[in-house]
Amino acid sequence: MGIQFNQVSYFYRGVKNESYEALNQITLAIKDFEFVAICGQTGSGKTTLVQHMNALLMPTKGTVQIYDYQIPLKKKGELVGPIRKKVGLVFQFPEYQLFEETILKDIMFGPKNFGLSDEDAEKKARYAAKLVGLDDDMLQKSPFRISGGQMRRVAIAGILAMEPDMLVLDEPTRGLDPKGSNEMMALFNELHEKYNKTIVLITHDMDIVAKYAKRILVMDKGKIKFDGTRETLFLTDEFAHLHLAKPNAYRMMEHLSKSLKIPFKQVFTEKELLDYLKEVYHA
Amino acid sequence: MSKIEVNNLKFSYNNKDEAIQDLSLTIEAGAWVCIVGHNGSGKSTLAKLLIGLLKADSGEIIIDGIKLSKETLHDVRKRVGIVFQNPDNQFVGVTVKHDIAFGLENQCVPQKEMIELVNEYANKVGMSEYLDKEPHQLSGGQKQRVAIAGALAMNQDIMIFDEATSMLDPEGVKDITEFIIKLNKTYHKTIITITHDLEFARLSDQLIVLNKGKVVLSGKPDDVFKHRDILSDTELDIPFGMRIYDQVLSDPKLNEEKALKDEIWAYSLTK
Repeated sequence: MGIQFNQVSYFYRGVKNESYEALNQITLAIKDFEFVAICGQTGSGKTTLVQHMNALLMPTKGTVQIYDYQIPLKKKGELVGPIRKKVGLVFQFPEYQLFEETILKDIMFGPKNFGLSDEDAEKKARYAAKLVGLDDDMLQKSPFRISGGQMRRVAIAGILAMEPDMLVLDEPTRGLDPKGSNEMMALFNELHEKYNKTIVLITHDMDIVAKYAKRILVMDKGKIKFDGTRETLFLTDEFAHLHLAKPNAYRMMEHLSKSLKIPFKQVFTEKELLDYLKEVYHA
Repeated sequence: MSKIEVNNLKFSYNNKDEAIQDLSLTIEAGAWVCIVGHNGSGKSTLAKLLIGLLKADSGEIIIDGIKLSKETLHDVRKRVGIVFQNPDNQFVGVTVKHDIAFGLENQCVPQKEMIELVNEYANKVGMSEYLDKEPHQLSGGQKQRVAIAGALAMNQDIMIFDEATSMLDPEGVKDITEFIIKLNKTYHKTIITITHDLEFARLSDQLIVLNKGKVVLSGKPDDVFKHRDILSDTELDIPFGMRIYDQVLSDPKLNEEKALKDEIWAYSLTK
């Protein structure tokens, strides 16, 4: 199952009938249990692409198959609601959408919207709060009197309370400090590994991409320019045209192999770099 | 005379935990000072105290020789501008030109002069072609430029940037960072940048490290980075190269490899 894009194009309509092609004939499959990172410059179509993943946007041309549902919907009167339960979309800076008096009520909002009783919604909300690491005694607090990182957790819990199989996140670490950012990524990794959630996330941070993503998509001008693993990404001939940085560890490895003649090996994280240096020098 | 002098400043939000604890610092005219600290270290509180958005419980702030008080607030605000983190929260005009004009209107600048000033400063921040654009047509970096133009138009010669790039995409970050440096080097503004990004902070003239409302380190960036033991207590992210260097030192075998150590150290200084 999962999501299948078939020849999807999307045009934004501007004033005076100008239109702007944000997606250009995208064909793409995302399967259950994947961990996908989407990279690319501002304006390359990343956000437009992920907003198709839970039918927030409908393709101008082509179709998107989201689990059992085909978009655009074929039958009149069919609702997109059930799709949103399958695929949870977390916007950029989701904490700006918090509005309720208490954290618990905010997290309950989604499930209640899907027609659950207060009691059932609360059960789901408490479970989701636990998933994102919010303590029980926090739940009666105002969502506006906690730190930015905690607010973001509340917003993500609100999505998880609808129990989606797939979690799609638009730059979930932007604006967080390094500690908050690491904790946030550890959370998604846990949701992926322990709770089998499919994770799709947009990020500009190549250290994050290299550390967590099992598959990397790079977008440019509405097209997917690269689709593969970290092991192939930095070696492809087109890498220079993708406008991406290499991870910190990778860059230092390149430098050391040139200046000290250490045999080059692809390393993606701080730990991999140090382990390799030990391997070379301990021998 | 120093541009900014802060003596024994204390502040708490709820009379319980002190957000700022007996803090003193001086900033010279024309300097670019970077205040770093993790979330909750008191750095944004300090910024709000400096421009009088918050009132200290005790201690004093002296800007350009003027002691900040209720009576002098207006005078001080004429000298100090601030750009906040969220580009959307500080865009008050309908269009770019209205937003740049906002401060000038409050100061009752005549319309003819105001139009000239708006054009001049829009040009300085590279937004001349966007004067009639509405906020939703601008990127985050462009909105921050507009905020800077507004402050420039007021002729404020101290500018505070409170995490002004943390919500921007990488291009916006690069753009605004370069612009901040230009404000300091070309327009000779006294600049205070507040950030948790040590990589960026390394470029400044003076680094002030806050932790739990206190100054724990202060000095030239290179000197501050010698105290990485103290820095790591502040939960800030030590720049990548230095992190690797420290871990090489802590491994007995790698620590013997002088060429490797020198190379990593040299690399950590360039990036």
